[in-house]
Amino acid sequence: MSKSGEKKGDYSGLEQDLHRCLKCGTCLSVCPIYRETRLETESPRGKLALLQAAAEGDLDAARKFRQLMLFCLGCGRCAAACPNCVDTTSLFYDARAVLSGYMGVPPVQRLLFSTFFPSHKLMSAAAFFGNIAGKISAGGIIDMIFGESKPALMAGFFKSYSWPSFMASYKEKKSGGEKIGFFVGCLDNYFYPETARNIVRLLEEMGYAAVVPQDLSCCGAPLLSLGLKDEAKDLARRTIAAFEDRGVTKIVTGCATCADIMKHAYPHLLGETGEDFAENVYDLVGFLTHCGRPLPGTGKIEGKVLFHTPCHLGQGLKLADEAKDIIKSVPGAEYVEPEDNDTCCGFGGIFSFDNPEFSAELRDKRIKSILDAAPDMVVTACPACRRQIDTGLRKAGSSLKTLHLADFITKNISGG
Amino acid sequence: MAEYGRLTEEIKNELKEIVGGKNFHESPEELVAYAYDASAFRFKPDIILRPVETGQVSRIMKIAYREKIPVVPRGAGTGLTGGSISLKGGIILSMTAMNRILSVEPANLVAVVQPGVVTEDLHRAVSKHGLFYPPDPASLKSCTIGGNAAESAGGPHCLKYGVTRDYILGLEAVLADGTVLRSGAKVMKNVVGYDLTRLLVGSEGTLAIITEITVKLIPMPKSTVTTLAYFGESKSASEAVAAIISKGFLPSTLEFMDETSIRVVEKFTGLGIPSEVKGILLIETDGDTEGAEKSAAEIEGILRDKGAFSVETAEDEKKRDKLWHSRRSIAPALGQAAQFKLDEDVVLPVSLIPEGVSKIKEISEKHGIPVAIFGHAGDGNLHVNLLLQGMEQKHMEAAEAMLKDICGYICSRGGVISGEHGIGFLKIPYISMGLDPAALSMMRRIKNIFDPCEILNPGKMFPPEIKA
Repeated sequence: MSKSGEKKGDYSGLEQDLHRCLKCGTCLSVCPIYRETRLETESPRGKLALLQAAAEGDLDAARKFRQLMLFCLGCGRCAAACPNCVDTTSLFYDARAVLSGYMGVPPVQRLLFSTFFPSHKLMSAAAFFGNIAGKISAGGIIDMIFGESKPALMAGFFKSYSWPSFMASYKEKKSGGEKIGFFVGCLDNYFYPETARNIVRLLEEMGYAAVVPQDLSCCGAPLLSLGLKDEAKDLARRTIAAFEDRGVTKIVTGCATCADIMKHAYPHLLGETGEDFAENVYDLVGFLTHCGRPLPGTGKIEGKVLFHTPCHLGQGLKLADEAKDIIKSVPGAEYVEPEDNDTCCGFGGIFSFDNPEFSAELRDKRIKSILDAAPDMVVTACPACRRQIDTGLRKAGSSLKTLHLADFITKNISGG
Repeated sequence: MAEYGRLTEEIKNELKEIVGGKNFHESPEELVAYAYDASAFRFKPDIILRPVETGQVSRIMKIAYREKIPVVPRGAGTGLTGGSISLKGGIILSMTAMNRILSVEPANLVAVVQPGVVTEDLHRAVSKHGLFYPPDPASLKSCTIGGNAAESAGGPHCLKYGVTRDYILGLEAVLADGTVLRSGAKVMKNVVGYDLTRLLVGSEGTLAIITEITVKLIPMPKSTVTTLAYFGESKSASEAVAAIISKGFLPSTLEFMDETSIRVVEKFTGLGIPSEVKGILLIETDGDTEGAEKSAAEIEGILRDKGAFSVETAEDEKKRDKLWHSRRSIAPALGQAAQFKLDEDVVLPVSLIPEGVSKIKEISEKHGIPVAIFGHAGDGNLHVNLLLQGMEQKHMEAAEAMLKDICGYICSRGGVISGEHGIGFLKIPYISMGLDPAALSMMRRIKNIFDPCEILNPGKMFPPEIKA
């Protein structure tokens, strides 16, 4: 019963995977959204049912359907918990790809994520002007006018750019040693250049040589979230090409999301080419755990440390315990683990732009559990989580600092 | 057959006024998402209402009663027999917004909760007081206490501690006409009048809508020892079950896995279970540390006697968790081994477990449909999983013929066709096999008193009456 003239998508390609869902409801217990709203329609199982209905022609997959398909943090908990191994994350990405085909993508988001984010040059320009704008509005004028509304978030994104970015100031050293490719990722490059420098420093301290392709910016996560699959494919090809012929044995990134996307989505997008590449992709935690070389430095870090597990690290890459082990191995650090520690920060990429209030609600819950544990510092391994938690801590009036794991370890070097 | 009224716009508006627009759902998307439960069958309701308090439930029922609209209460929708699906359209009453723990009272050993509380959340809340709510259905992380009460859910702990019914002391429930009824009290002994609480528990939403539950709590056992035993034969494992019980032990868990379950788990998870293992028992003893260890040691003797060639025990949580791996992997592995599985939860007197396992294997071979048998065994409850290669008519017909044979055998030996999943609508064809005709007829009369217009979860539990 399609409304006249309305285009419809073809979801039949997903049917086979959808049939694997036995409707047992295990995913309800882990979904950060369902746990808040307790609405079946917004649960992973519910969304799979909607997809199945759309595939069978029993549901007119239009506006509300699109809204629901996008109402997902992409945290991957449902896929990890599914007893029947339904790859919900891929199914939702595929569904969004079908959706973008006939429903389109909001023009601002398309411009931002398919033109700006993948281009280092455009991002740098935006960073430059954003930084100036940020300085002008340093008194929080934007926040005062818009609060936590969508324009404020978008504007806030640009104004908090750090200038110069990591890449703008980076000069590759001609040092010896095994060459490791470093995929910087957009957030560390523009928001946390110091962290990117610390990752390079860490690699060098461990006897590696870092190779940083200059023309890369985005891994493609936002494109996949928006269903811009073809653009994501192009970007994946570009990323892979940038590391080709550079003599690198492994590729490391300090962003759990980038690592998860390159490791798990690239094979899905590009088949064998993606698989070959993915095999050598490491998040920093995974790299430090598996490289076989000891961490540098033995200096002491005093204080209670809490590790916030990014969803893509814990669920996607399954490295939550490894990250905590690294922290525990640092002399002096007292590791604290609050009850229910592995919860989502509520960012979820595009999700936080589309649903700012709900995203903030999830964030504030997470902040409360962090503050209840009274740590001296919060360490994480994803710049997006870091930004979200930092924002939350400031809103809660806390002066607690959030560090990237690389900052934490290199702090140890300088302390020693 | 009852005649139902139509949900006109006018009635919908009346209902919307009760719960508010935010808790009134009727979009095509919402109808799809509230059409199923874990039985994987689908029937769309007309609307979904999410009441937040008993008063709203009462007002909804008054209207439903006046207009003859079907009402199906629903928790998390994790039931396996279709209990929370609306076969006749009408209203799905989603109880998930009534999810507050109203009190935990260590001095009285009770907790009072709303039906939408997730079972694991109740476990957590009472454990902070050193207390224990034993029923532990497999879906406890997702399912709700209201659903547990409506189905009288079980779980591994029920061998020693009993089922949900044994832990419910009192209820508040809304009757078909909207009357609010309270039964039971916060007391351990109560013989005042008929035990309506125990009647409503397990009534699968066919008698009333449960809106508040008073549960009994017990002190948390101080320590638990887990034992994993490998057998060279399924049969010797099942004999060990009967032997443990008959020698006077009451483990807090006594789980059995047959050869098919083991092979399927190994194939899909690669846990490294040696190929000579054809039967597994997972046993837990609990209590004070000394007692739990002593029982575990004595049970180990029985296991060895019955031919276990490997027995491993663990006390700390991480190691215990490891021993649970194979048992926990069954459901997911079976999901991958078959296109579709039917999970039956038959119960036999415990002494008949060894015979039951062989007999069910025989029936499976006769019908050519493989079965994996595992489950709580210690309490006589076996999960018999029919592994079907499809959901088409021919597969379902073959499965039905086989189920008739299994249920026939179970009933002929004094067992029952469902220990914890309930009847819903999937087991209706077999209910009269295991119930005395006088009992079935009395149940119908009770249903008729509670729900004369058949608006509460219609089409469930009872086969349609054949009129002469």
